[in-house]
Order: sequence, then structure tokens, then C-alpha cells
Amino acid sequence: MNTRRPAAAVIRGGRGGTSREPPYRIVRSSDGTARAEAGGSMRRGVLRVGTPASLVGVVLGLAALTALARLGPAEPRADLTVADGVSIVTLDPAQISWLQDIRVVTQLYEGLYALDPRGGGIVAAASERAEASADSGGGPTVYRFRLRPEARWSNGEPVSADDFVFSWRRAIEPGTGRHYGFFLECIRGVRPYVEWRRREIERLGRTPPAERSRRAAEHRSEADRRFAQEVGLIAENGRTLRVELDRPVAYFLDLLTLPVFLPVHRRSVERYVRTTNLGLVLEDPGWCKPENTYYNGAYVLESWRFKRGLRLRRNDHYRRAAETQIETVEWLDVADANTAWLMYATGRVDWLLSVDAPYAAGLVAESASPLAAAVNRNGDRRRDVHAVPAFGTYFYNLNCGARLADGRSNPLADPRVRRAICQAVDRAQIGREVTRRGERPAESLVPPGALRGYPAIAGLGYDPPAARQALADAGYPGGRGLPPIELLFNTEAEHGLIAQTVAAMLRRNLGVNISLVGKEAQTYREDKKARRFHLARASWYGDYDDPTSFLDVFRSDNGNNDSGYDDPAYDARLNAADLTADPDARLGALAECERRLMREGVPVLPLFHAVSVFAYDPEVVRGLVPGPRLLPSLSALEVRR
Amino acid sequence: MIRRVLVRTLQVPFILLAVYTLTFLLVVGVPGNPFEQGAGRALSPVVEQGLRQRYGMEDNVRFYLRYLGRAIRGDLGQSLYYDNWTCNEIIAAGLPVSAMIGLSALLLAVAGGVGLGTLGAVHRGGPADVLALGLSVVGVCVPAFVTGAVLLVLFSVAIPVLPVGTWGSATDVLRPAAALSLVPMAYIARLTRLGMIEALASDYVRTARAKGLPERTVVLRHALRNALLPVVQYLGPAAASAMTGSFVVERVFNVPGLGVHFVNSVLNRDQMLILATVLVYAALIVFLNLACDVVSTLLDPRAATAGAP
Repeated sequence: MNTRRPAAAVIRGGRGGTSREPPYRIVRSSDGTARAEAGGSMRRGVLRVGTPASLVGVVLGLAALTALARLGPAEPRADLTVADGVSIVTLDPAQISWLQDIRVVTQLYEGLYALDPRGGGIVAAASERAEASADSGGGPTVYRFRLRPEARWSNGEPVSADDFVFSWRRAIEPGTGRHYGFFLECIRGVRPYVEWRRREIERLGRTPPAERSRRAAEHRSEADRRFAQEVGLIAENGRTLRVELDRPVAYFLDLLTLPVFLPVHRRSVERYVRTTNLGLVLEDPGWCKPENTYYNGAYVLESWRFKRGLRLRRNDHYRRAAETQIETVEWLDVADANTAWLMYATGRVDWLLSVDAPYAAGLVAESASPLAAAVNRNGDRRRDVHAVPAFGTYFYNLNCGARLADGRSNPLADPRVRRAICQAVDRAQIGREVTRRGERPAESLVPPGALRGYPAIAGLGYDPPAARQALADAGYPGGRGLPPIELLFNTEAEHGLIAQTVAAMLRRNLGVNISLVGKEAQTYREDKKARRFHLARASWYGDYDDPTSFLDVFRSDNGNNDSGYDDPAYDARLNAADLTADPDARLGALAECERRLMREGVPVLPLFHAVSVFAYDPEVVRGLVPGPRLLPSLSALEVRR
Repeated sequence: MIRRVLVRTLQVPFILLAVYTLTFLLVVGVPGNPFEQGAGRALSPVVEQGLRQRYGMEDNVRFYLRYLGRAIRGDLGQSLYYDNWTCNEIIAAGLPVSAMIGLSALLLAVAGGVGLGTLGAVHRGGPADVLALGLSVVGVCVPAFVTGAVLLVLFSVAIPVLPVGTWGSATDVLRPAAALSLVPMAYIARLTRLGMIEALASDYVRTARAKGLPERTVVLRHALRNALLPVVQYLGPAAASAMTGSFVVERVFNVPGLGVHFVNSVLNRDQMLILATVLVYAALIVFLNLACDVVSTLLDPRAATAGAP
């Protein structure tokens, strides 16, 4: 298109030049154009004000200069400048699911419990220690939280139990809740309440429009009544919150550190609420903007400029404000990993929260990281690149369904084939030669050492003869008779390289024909959900410090069970283990569940345990203990330049 | 000419409606769920239904009509991915930034391109021509992510005179604008050179020379004026594309512009933001093309009748 238009103009110009004399045209046109032409030809030189060509230039120049004036003055540099390699998506605790957002929002809001900034475990935060009352054995089901009198919002108001009830309710309500709302379903009455709401909203959609508003209003007051009566979430008074659970949840206090359990300032959010005639309570998400709400965390949001970053300032009403050293924090939004690293390397950023540039492996190799495989072998180590084990595992889902989505029969339905695949992949080689950040080869889902008291699980290691035997036992000796196996992955980052490596190992060790199916992220995701694969790339990061955060995924009714693993015995064993009252016995029983899952059920091929790479100079940013959850608390840090 | 402008203006709503409809069909046709974005966690049907109602997207027909109605009133909807921002806010934040870089780039491109093209045509076949052609080939061939990265490393690491990844001072515009200007500069240089060669061979230039005008006046006043017509025609779409930013350049220089949203909104299946950015881009193209037509007519009155029915 673009090239055709000018070409046509050239032809026109050319034809005009030969067949018609330009002066005729000038005379014939009667408006200002002709005068400009005639007047222009009488002056000397070109590209000065008055000739059309220069006019274009001047207009463009002026526009650029006007725009330049809009840049505005630069803000003074904050005490600490942080950058994450990804954009902030939302700051609404009920909507959050990305790590980068969790990292910000946990500075702004303080829940009943928080992760211990000194690393490992949780500490009572906005509440004093919870009083748990034992019910019918198997652990407590009722918790009473007394809020600290010094817990305040950034306008000085006390944080009330009511703020928590309001905030947790919006995390489960249709319209304001999102992915993480299901964590509240362990609270008594939440699941039936949500189901009832959904049914009623659907019914309102079918009522005649004339009646809808009245019916919706009735439904909303009924919903308020039901929530107050049937949901085990009670503000006993301004400072006491009682939570009743459906069943004992051994890690309930740990769950409370999740963003979905953070409080928001009720009165300021309520100003943004609107109701619909379908019974939905919606909010204008503008309430999250800094000038519209208050915070109870160590920091308040001073400004948030889209795609540029955030500025945090110490919250003077925070209960531990006196101990918070860093007053201002600039949280930059940097989308490109290479640019982010250069910003760190040139001193623009003090602390880079994710070193993801293509050369990150090289940086890790030069570092003095505690990971054995990540330590530089030359001796001259850089002290500012820190590779730390994350609470996550990279694996391939093995499709356990009898048939594929398109009706073909699935050889992987036979656990022996799945076992053969697991034993034919040398995971140490992937960490050593492909990812190269010190990732440990994985045989389990839960990263070994990440949970206190939970043992390392020995799953199926690399054993090609055993793999070939298992495949032969399944009726495919030497891979004969096996249809091509499809390996689905998303094409970003190193997923393609890892897939090629795994495919080569399977080909070499089992004689299996692998076809690599690389797709764009969303299409891959849809194919994975629809189970259009034999093997599919995946990873899972634990949400809370308990093995069930990983093991629940393979329950037959779990929405994240992309392998389609369906084993009632596993569900039953997991239930029994989860409800074991004694904490040590419970972890032992869960470890047994995982061992059997990894050795017998084999819904996944675990590849390696994830590693996160931070960059900061420990002489400048002090007091940082990078834990596996990768959620630092800025209020525990100090900056010295 | 007034009639022509009027007709073109009346076409605008229909063009935009067609663009909107086609984009909408593509948006709802591609695989992927706009609400399943959270860090690999599955979304329960109850929650998804609530979200669809929240955004008025229960079914596609209603979504199509509702969005159209709101867009006509100037409300481009709520971003589905960046939950706390409306598309209007996102575009208002990004467009001025991208426009500033784009227009600066275009300014560089016009100045450099016209200069190189003229030089090449006047000294046709000589070293200046070879240089101009060579530079324009390089400009077209080297992608912006290479130029961008080279500029970034060159002026921040090798010669540390400019900061990396900042946005807030006038110097922050220089490198992104330079990286973006190369392709249009090369294109403009070639257009100018071609137009100039043709113009220099034409009768009226011979006449101008014959009546004894200095060569400088002949070239810059008589020949260049006609040679620039194709350039002006090209500037419309070029300005629209430059003003709406570039994904690569904005990423490399960490510029908070609009360009990244054209790509990211699709990757995130942010259906609202896809529609919003495409509509804004389409409107810009249509209006800038119109503006170019007007300027061309001012430059060359023949264009007013040549293209008209």
C-alpha cells in the first residue's frame, strides 16, 4: 500500500512534467496555493519558512518540541531503586496472581500473618498471635485473631476486623474475585455461598428486564444476610476476627500471607462500588490509584505511572515505622531483561529482582552463589549476582487420559510408558548444559530442602536400561509400535531448547519418535487445558509453605491437573495424610503420597527445580535474606552508599 | 478540493467501522481466554462468569454492540489484563510519548532522507550517490532492535554519556528517535532520489537552467519541489506508524510508549486493549492520510483533480 501511493504520485508528476506546463496549472487554480507557488519562485534558496516542504518540517519540529516540553522535571532519586523484569499488572490484592505484583502489594498491605523477613516461616503481623481452638480432633477449625491496637491505616484510622471481612468477601464475590479466591473455600460456608450466588445471578439474567432491578436489590440484601449467617467469617468486635473452617487446615496461618487475604481500606474502596441489575457488586478499579485509598503496610504508594513504575514512601502510621530504614523506594517497570541488567550494571538500579537476560547463566557462573553448580570455577567471583533456589519445579505433564482430545488412543495412559519416559531423560544434563543457572535436577515436585521437616523425595532417576525394559513391558520394545509422541511447549525463553534436548534423549534412549509442537503462549495454554498433547511443558511454584501446595494439583478434581491424572486412591491417601494431627507424622504421610505419585502414578516428568537470580551489592542493600518464596520485605532492609 | 476533503471525511466513520468489525472478529476468533492470565492457575467457571459480566462480555454480539456504543462516546473500555487501568488511560499515557519519539524520528528522517536523496540525484553515479544509496540500504536492512541495542551499549556502556532505561529528560528522546528514523530515512532518501532524477531531466528544469538561474536555485527550488511529492504522500502513513511507537525500540530503551501494547495486548489476549489500540491507530492513519492529501494538493494543484472522480 505505502509503496504504491508514492509511485503513483511519481508517475503523475512525470506525466505532468512532460505533457502539461506547470505554470498553466498555477494560473488556473485560484486559491492561496497558486500565490504560494508564484511568490515562492521569486525568492532565493529553499527550505525556509513559506515553502511547503519546509512547512512540513516546521510543523513536525514544533510538534516534537511541544511534546518535549511535556517530559516534565525528573524526580529526585529514591533511597532505593528496585526493578523487576516484568510489568506490574494490578495492585488489587483480590485480583493478584503474578509474583511481581505480590512483591509490591506486600509492602503496601499487611495481613494477619506475614512471611518472616529474616527468612523461613511466618510471623504474626497485623494481628497478635492467633488463638486456635481444637474441634473434633485433627487440628483446629476455629481461629480467633486479635488485631494489634497499633495496626493503623495510613490516615491514622485503626485497622478493624470489619476491613478484613469486607476484603475477604470481595475476594470470593463473582465480579471482584479472581484466581486465588478459591483459597478462601476452606472457610465454613464459602463454597455453598458462592455457588448460590452464581445460580441466583444466572436466574436474574433470565428474569424480564422490567423486574430485574427490584429482584437484584432483593437478592443483594439476601446475599448480605446469608454471608453474615452462613459464612464462618465474623467480626466479633472492632478488633476481633473469628474464622471458622470447614475442616482443619494445617497450613491455614501460612495461607494468610497470600495477597488474597490482605485487607483493603473498606471506606475508600466502597466509594467505587456499583451494583448491577444482575446482582453483581462491581468496583471501578480506579480505587487502586495512590490518591484514592489508604494502606496499612510499611509503605504507602506515592505515585504509580503506567509502564514507568511506582514510588513508595514510608508509612508513618505503620506500627513499626520507627524501625523502617528506607524512606523512599522507586520501583521501576522494565520489560526488557537486557535493558534491566544494563540499568543495574550502570548504577541506575540498586536491586534487580530478576536477572533474565540471555547471558544470565554466564553471570551466575561468575558469581559466588551458594548453589554448587552456580559457583564460578575461576576463583574471581562477583559478589552481586545471587542465584537462589526458588519454590518451584519445571516439569512436563504426561497425559494420563485414555484418549487424546481428538479421539486417538493414548499410549501414555499406561503408567509403564510414563515411567519409561521419566527414566530416559538425563535431567542433570539439562541443568548443566541448557539452563546453566545452577538448577538442581528434579525427581520430585516439592523442591528438596524448601520445607522444614519435609524429606527429599527419591522419584524415578535417569536409568536408560530400566526405561527400555519398562517400554518393552508395555508392549513397545525399542519403541516399535509407538505412534509419534507430541511434545507441546510455548516458544518463549529456553523452553524450545529444553524440549529439543528432552526429545533427543527420548529418541536416543527409547527409540521413540518425538514431534515438537511449539506454540504461542496463549494457544499453548489452551491446548494444554484441552489436553491436546502427550507431553506438555509446565512449571509450578508453591503458594504456601506446605507440600499440599504442590500435591493438591494432581487431585482428580483439581482445575490445574493438566495431566488428567485420576487416581481415587491418591486422593484418599492425600486426604488422610493432610488431616493427620501430628505435624511430623503429617509431613511423613504427605512425603509417602508424593513418593508413590512420583514412582508409580507418574503424572509428570520432573526436570529441574527452579532458580531465581537477583542482582544487588550486599554492601549497599543490607539485611536481605533471599528465601525460596522470593518475597522480600523492604522494611527490614537498609541502604548504605 | 473542499469537496474531496468532505467526501473523504464522510468516509471516515465507515472505514473505522469496518476496521472495528474485522478486528473484533479476529479478536474473538483467536484461541486463548482473556481471563485465564494468572500465573498458570486455573480459573473457576464461577469466577470467569462474574468477570465476563463485569466487562459486559457475556456473549459476542452484546460485547460487539456495547463496545461500539462506548467507543463512539470516546470510552475505549477497561483493560482486561492491566486491571487497574482503562484503555483511555493507557493510550493517554503512551501516545504522547510515542508521538514525541515518532515525530522526532520523522524529523530526522525527512532532514536526512531529503538531503541524502538530493545529493545522490545531483551527483548521480558519483561517490555521494553511492554513499547515499549505501546508507539507505543499510537503514532499511538493519532492524531497529540491532540499532537500538548498539546505540544503548555504545552510549551507555562503551562511552557512558547517557543513562539506560530512563524516561524524563530531553536526551532520553535522542536514541529511540535515531533508531526509529533509519528505516523512514532510507525510504525517503530513495523516494527523493528517484523523484529528483526525474525532475532534473524534465522540461521545466531545462527551461529554468536556460533562463540562467543558478544551479542551486534550479535544484532546491524547482526540482526538489516536485521531487518531494511522493515523500509527502509517504509521510502520512509513516507519521501514523511512527507516532504509535515501535515495540522493539520501546522495549530496548524502556520507553513507556504505546508501541508495546500493539504486541502485548495480543499476547495477553487483552481484547479491550487490542480493539482500543487498533481503533486509535486506524483513526490516526485515516486522518493523517487525509492531511497528506491536503498538503499534496497545496504542493501540486494537479493532484486535486488527478485523483478525483
